[in-house]
Amino acid sequence: MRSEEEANRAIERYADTVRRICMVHLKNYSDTEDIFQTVFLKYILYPEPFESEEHEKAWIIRVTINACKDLLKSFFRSRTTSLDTLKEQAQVPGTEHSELLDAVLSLPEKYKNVVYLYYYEGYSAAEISRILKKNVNTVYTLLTRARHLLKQELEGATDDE
Amino acid sequence: MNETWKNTFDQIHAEPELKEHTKEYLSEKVYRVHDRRVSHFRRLAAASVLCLFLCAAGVCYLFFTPVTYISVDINPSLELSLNCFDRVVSVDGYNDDGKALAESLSLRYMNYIDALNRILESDTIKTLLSENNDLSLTVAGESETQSQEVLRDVEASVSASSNIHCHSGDMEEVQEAHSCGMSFGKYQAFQILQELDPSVTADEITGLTMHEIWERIRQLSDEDSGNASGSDSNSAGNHADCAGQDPSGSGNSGAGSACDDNFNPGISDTSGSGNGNSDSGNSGTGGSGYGNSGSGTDHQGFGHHHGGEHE
Repeated sequence: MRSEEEANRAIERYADTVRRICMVHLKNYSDTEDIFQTVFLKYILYPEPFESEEHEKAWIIRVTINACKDLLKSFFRSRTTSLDTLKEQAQVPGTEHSELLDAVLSLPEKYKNVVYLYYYEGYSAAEISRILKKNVNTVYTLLTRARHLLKQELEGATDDE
Repeated sequence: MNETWKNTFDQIHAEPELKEHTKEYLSEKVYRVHDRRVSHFRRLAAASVLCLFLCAAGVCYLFFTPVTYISVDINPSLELSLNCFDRVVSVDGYNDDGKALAESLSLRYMNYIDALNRILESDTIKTLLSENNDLSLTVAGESETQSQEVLRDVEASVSASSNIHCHSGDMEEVQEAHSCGMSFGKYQAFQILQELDPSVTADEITGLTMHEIWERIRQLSDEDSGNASGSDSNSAGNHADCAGQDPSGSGNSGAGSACDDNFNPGISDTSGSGNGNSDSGNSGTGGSGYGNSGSGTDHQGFGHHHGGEHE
């Protein structure tokens, strides 16, 4: 088990990353808190050492995405939330680039991770395929479709203005 | 395009309270539970150490608490305190000779029979015994059974020597003796002497050897019985058997009580001369009756009474 200092250091270092993934997938704050607890609990209980910081970060991302998936699975079974909640939550961070964020958030679940990992975290398709345990070509396909959807969304928004 | 993405997502930060909550959660759910388990273990360890300590303390207490005393009196007067495991836990000398003897022999933690043998084999005691001094061994204890056992063993181990006498006493006597600053073997002899001669004080007695005390007792009882006109055959016998609570030798039974009966009318001065007759006869058979339960003053009165009657 990792020490409390290690846990605190990991929280300081990866909280933003975890928060962004949660932002992409989840709709409210209490769910985000759940994910944080789950992810960092798993982190301190993970017995094997990490090869590098990159490895550690990838591990955190992987665990966060899985935790989000798990939560969503149970989430859909247990209750439903209106799209308004999602929009409200999504708009919290700021207004400057909210169109893009809105567009990402409105993407179907399966595209969100690849888009986030590819465009923001800067992972290559091969790396994403390893993190998400998907075929590289699948990642390419997902990216292409997501890009297409985003384009539609963003252009639509621009058209409206 | 990449710039836009970066800007968009860079705005998203984990709220400080989110981090705090997560840290609190972890420290509460994981680390403190772990601590608690550790402290639980520690508490258990502390408890068992305490238990062990208490047990050890209990055994130590048992071991170092004297329950039976053996008083060895000749001229050196010393006392062995035995614990319930029949081991000598302390040796106290009650006069200078006794202290010197106690210091010269290391008797602590020995079995009492071994300790007693070592005392009897010491040069001081051997010399005194060969000079025909009387040695008295007196056993007293809180536990009746243990002291009886000890007395039996002591008697068995010294049965070869004719001038060693064994007595039993009780704890009350032990305490009284200690408050007078003498061993209780000597104290018993002192009590007997005091009954015959109330002017005797504890200070005088501590300086005397047992042999001298017995000599005085013998003398006084001889005088007494001489006054009473009777024979004194019993007085020596009493000594040899060592009175105290020994029923066979003491004046407590039979003759002793007869003395008492006779004495009472003497004090009250209501008796006639008939009493005088029976009186002298009784004292002849009962000897001095020093084991009598009456106090010293009784004896004084007794003596006077006799004198009056005979004159």
